[in-house]
Amino acid sequence: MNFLIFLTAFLMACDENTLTRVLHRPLAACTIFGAVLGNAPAGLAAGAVLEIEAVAFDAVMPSNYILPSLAAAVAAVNGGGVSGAMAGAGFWLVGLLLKEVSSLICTALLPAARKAAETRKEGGLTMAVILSLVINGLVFGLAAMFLASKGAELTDFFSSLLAQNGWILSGLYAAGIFTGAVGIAVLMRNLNVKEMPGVFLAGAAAAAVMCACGLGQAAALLCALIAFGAASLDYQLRKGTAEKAPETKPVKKGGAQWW
Amino acid sequence: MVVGTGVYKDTGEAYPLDKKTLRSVALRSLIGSGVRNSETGESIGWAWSLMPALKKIHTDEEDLSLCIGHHLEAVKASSPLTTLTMGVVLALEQQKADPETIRSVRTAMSAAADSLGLSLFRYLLIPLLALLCAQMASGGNTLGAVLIVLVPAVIAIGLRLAMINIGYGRGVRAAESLIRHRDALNHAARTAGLFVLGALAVIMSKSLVSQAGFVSQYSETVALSGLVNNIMPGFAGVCAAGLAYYMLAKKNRPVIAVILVFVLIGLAGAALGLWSAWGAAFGLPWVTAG
Repeated sequence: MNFLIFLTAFLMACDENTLTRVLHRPLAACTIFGAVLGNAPAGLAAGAVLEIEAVAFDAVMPSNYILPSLAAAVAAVNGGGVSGAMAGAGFWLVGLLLKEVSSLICTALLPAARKAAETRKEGGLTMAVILSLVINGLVFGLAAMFLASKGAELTDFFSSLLAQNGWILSGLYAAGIFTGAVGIAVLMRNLNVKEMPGVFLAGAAAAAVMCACGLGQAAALLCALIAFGAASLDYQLRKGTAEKAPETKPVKKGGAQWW
Repeated sequence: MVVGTGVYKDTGEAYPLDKKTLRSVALRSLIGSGVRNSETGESIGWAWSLMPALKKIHTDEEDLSLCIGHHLEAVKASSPLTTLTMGVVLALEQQKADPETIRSVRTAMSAAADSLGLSLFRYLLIPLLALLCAQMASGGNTLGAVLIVLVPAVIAIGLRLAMINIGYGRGVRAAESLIRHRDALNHAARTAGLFVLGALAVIMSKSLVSQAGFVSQYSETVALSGLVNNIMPGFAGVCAAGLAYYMLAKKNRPVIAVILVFVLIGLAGAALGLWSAWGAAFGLPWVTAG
């Protein structure tokens, strides 16, 4: 049973950003976990309740719903019924944390990928891709197996963990977010930010204002549209200057120069 | 030489890519977009997805090395609209545009496509479908659970296959006319790239949540979290990007040192309640109840 749960969670984690991308959603995941636990209808009913909660949660912070779905399915199958589905809500943030932990671990694959690029070996890149999927799957698979073996009591365990040592999880979560700045810094260097620091800061200011206005996900799209507008204007101006350049040849000696 | 920096030796235009290669790139992107790391986002999956096309475009080995190297830089590529960016990038690669131009276009376009794709999928299609299917499932209809998996999958695969053709076709036509003014194109692309990069530095950290407050002269804790949560995440993101840039580009420190510094900053900030959604380490006066 535990192995089946591990395998299901593993596949759902691999699917989260690949093929269907929705197997981890409560409606699908609860039904599947319900079926694994021997009561698909109970899982389906719990999934229907949790899915509506997930839609609301998504608007604030999109997460991975494997663990909440498993907790809800376990509670529903063990007689908690539809109201037991809310046990899953205690795991919203755990899913988010595990995603960040998995990403942090996968950062260790980058040197191997760069080596593969240097030696033009596609096999190296393929291996990095497979390992990355496996690491993500393992993190969620093992967490799901642990959760299934502990049952509903794990909700209390996580609640007390967050209450007592939540700052450590918070710190690791923040570290995971900040690590993205390394990739941005490499691009800053390669795009030679020294020549146009104002453009970088303008982008940051525009996004900060948009985020403060609560635009959230749309901020990236709006900033990209502003960037394309600015780039288009820049291109037209520079192209015009380049086309006009031949006309600014020095006038022949003896020609009239009013200045 | 740093992998991914430099210019192409062979600047002659490559043969156009056939439909089969583009299809193979689009299908690979289905898996590639799920390969994520904290440092460069979906770059490993992105480079791996493009490999069939890049091998056809770059016959010179060093150029291919350089090309894969710069495609391993940070990129956002988790949405199904990613293949639109891939198409445009492949068109530029085929025209042998400067790597700097390609990287700028990739940064700006991928952020736009990712945001648009996620908005369409995560905030429009999935919620609508989820509510509809949840309604069906609460009545005991299993079709609800099947539909929520099948519909997005079919739409995502269809979009990926269609978008790469649109991106490549339009990209080639646009690149042919744009590339005549290489310098102007390069400058414009860098402007767009750096602007979006600045925005990304802020957006990546917007999920940091603070519970900071301060103790007023009347010994009452005044919550600062509203103000701090609006300004601090963005400010922290830009500072983190600046620090990483300083350590990597100016001080030439290894990436692992930068990551370790970030782990320390993350833990220290969380202990002080600066970005802790779950309380601080000690009973600090400026941390308000969550």
